[in-house]
Amino acid sequence: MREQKKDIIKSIVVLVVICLVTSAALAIVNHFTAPVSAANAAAREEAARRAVLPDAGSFEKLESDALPASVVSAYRGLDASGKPIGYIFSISGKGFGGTIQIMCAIGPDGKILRCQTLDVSGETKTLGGKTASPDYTDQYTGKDASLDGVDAISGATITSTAYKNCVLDAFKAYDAVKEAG
Amino acid sequence: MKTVIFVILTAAITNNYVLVKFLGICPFLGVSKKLDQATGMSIAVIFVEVMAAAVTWPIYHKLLDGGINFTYMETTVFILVIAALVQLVEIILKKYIPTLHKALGVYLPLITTNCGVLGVTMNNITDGFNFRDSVLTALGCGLGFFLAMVIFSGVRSRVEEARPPKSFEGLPITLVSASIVSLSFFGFAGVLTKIFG
Amino acid sequence: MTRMQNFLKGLVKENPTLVLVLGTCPTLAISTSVTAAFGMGIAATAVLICSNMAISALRNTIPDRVRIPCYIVLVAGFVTVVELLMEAFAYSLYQSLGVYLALIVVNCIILGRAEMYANKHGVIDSAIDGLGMGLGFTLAICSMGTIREILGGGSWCGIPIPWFHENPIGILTMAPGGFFVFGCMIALVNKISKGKAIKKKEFGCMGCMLCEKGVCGKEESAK
Repeated sequence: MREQKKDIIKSIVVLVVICLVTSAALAIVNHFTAPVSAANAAAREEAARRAVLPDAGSFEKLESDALPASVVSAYRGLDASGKPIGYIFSISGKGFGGTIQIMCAIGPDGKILRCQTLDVSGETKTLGGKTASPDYTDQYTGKDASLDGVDAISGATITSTAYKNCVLDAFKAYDAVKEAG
Repeated sequence: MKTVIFVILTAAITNNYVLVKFLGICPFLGVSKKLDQATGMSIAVIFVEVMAAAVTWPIYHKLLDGGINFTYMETTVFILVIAALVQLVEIILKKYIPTLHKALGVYLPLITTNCGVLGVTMNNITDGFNFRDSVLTALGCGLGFFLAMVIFSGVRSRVEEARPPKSFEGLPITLVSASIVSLSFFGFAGVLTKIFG
Repeated sequence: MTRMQNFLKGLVKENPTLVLVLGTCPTLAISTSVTAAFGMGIAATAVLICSNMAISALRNTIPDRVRIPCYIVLVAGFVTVVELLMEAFAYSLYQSLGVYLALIVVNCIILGRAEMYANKHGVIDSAIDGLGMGLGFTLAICSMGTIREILGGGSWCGIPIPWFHENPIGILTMAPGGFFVFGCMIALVNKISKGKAIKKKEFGCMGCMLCEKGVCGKEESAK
């Protein structure tokens, strides 16, 4: 009986020690990799913003309670003199195989300047994945909130609809922030 | 009510974990031979998945993502929770439903390594579901697993009687049959969105 | 068994994916693109080598009754390290692997080798076993990836291939295609090895560590 008790205590001790050592090791690795990951993520976001609004000199982050829930971030693009030349929204939505994320730049006239796909890695590469290519995203340039004339990708209805809904959310977000100037 | 049904059906059919997302293949191939085993295993999986989702969601959102950022512990903590839950299920079954415990036998501890269980808990976090939807999705996934297993055990019993080419006997022809069953599930993707969307 | 034999068995004779039929989930899910498949294979190999070495080093310290939770914690730890490093330094690969990277922790290959080999052999031997098995897995998943990417998407590692690019068989990159190609590959292996590769009557996770000792192989009577 005492043997068994000693056994049980040893088992628990070993398990706890292994858990603690593993957690400590992970904390150390995380300490070094987290800043790198965060910096990379920020750089990717910045690069995406420059891609949809190349004329902007700087970007100003916007916060608002009126933004739709799917908006990940909202920015106002300013030119060299500080005048707003467009609004950039990063929207996430539910695609076919997972979450999709897009970035939309809407100009002061309420029309889309440029759309860029950030992440459609969960969609089928040869179908929904085609939304990543400029052939698809270019058709959004110049469109207004009615999205007339935007074609879906045949065979990828769910991804295409999700993409469209994200763009519509971008318009809703635009309406929410444009009064603020 | 409509959303509840939609979430469950989406998880069970459109995003069927076994046939569309490739999670839970090992037990799917290993246990679907006999219908009663398939049923028993599926019920255990449904139970573990729902409980795992119900337990891991608050752990992540309150503990790991709360004040201090411990999100890197997600994998480790989740799998430990699942392993513990499976042990618990085993103990409970042994005490209260010994016949089921005996029937499931070796398959019960295998639920710990079922990619689907860990997969659904992690996907709930990535997809950003709230608590209600997380548990419902887990329920749907378990039901989907059950559905896939039952359909497939029927298919397999037919395939057993067939005479495929020698090199295809056993696992290969089973996989080809699985591919056809998986194809049939693709048809449902649009149906549900049209009905509930 | 010589060190060379130890290493080579994981590549061909006991290839974890095509012969032992372990780790089928990532094989089916990630084999749509060769670059992703290669990344997954290398990540799994790294985890396999590290966990084999760790478990082998601790094999006399870990008491039997808690060995499964201990192995799980160790493997989860290594997987998380790979996750963190990949997120920081190889983000596009990290994105394409998605949740399957974390699922390496329940990959039967890792837990299976821990139980079958690492806790009975020395550290170096376990490392070699891990390397062989991991590379065997990588080989299998990349072969499948090549077939599915060329025929299904018309490219290889992202480089488009002339005729195939215009005539892709899309279904191969989706779920049914995965099952189908996997089935055909195993049939091919059967054919090449003239049936010698069909060692196990019951396939899949029966080879996994969590089988109660002595029950595996006796599933027929247990039913």
